[in-house]
Amino acid sequence: MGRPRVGSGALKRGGPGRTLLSVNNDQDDGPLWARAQRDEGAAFAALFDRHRARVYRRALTLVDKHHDADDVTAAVFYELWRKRRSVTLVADSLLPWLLVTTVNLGRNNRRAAARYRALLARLPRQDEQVPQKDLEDIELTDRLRASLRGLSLGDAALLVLTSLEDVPVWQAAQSLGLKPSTARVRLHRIRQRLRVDLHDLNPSTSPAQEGVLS
Amino acid sequence: MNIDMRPDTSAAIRAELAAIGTKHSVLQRRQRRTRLARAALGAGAIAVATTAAALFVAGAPGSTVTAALGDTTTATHTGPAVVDIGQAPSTAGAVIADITCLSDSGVVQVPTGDGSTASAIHCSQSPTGTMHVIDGQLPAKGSSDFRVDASPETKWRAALQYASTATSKWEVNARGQTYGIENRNGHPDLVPYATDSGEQGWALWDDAYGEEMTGPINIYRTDGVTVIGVATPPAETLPDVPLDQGLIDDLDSVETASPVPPAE
Repeated sequence: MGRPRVGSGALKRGGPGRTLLSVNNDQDDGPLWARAQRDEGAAFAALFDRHRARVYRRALTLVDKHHDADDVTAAVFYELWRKRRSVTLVADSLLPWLLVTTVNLGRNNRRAAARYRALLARLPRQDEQVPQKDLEDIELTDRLRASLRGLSLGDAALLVLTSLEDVPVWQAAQSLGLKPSTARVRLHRIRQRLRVDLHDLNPSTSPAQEGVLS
Repeated sequence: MNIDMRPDTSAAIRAELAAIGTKHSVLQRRQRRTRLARAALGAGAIAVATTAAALFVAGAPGSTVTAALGDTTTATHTGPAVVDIGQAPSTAGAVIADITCLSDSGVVQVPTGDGSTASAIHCSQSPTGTMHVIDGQLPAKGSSDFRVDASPETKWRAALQYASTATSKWEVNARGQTYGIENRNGHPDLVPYATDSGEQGWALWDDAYGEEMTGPINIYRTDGVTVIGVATPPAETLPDVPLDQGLIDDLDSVETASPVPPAE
């Protein structure tokens, strides 16, 4: 298996030592997704190669253990198959849907594990891994969780997509089935309510981008 | 900094995804199974209508005849538990499990077949509160433990009994297509399917279950050529379960009784 291909599109500088990849990449998931919807396993495998690392890293910020991040990542892609009739591409990319699902499952990874129990039980892994997170990541995880606690599912996904994933508000809105104006209002209320700001953890995305509707 | 999954873990997930569309897909087998379980939930109202189909399936090629062996072990627990059902008789091929919900909510689940599948009862949704499973997973060699997974607060009663199983072979028609019913060996090319007007015939498995929302499909005789009618498979396999339901999540979460390694 080759190196994972992760969004070859616009590279953005994030915080110190951090390179962020935009969802606005030039990889069009459309053709692969059309094949995947016809139950072509190879297409699902290729989509997994393309987006796995991004999903996994997001999962790691939402759960404690690598083990749980494995479960969440697997469940996200199994859900992609299970919901293949209803999944929508946003700006030719599956990534917004994958990330929203990652946030949903990451917040309740027991549920993620329950549906795919038998499959997840077969995954090879070590009993306990030495945490590889650095202090910055630990801080991010703790603050992110504190921020998400008490938020509705949609609001949590909206916050993560726009604050941490460089997803323009209109794309985040579309992947959540909201009007852009509604999403902006909700984001405003979320930030007021939380009184926390995650932007210092990812300075490049402050303020949330509006993107261009063309 | 480029954090990624362990290569063997990601390879295992990738392999499962790559198997989609083939007979090796555990995901697809599980969905089919869940669909059957969901269908059974609504079975009360349509029991009369499906009796003919049930008779048709009974004794079909590939069907498994189960005969109870020895004593029944009865146990009542709350949450997940391991039940000692005694050593398996040498002729045992499965465990028959009768599960009764004693709570109004939560899920009770037993492993079936080789352990890669399971049958579950949702206590809040089941009209009868009972589940009859004839292909419960045998305890591992040398063990007498039968595992019942359940939501932490859910009380249940299980009556468990070993059973011998004999599975007949699928038939093969002149075109070389296998026909019969799905079993632990997988699925044949043609499986029983009723036309929209209720006549029993056979559908290509790929038409009926390989992909969803394909529209009306042909129903054949066992020769795989003669069309006796058409059937319209249900458009959706499963309702989309909301991913986050707060309390319901906790009630329905299933905890595993013990880390029994899956059978290879």
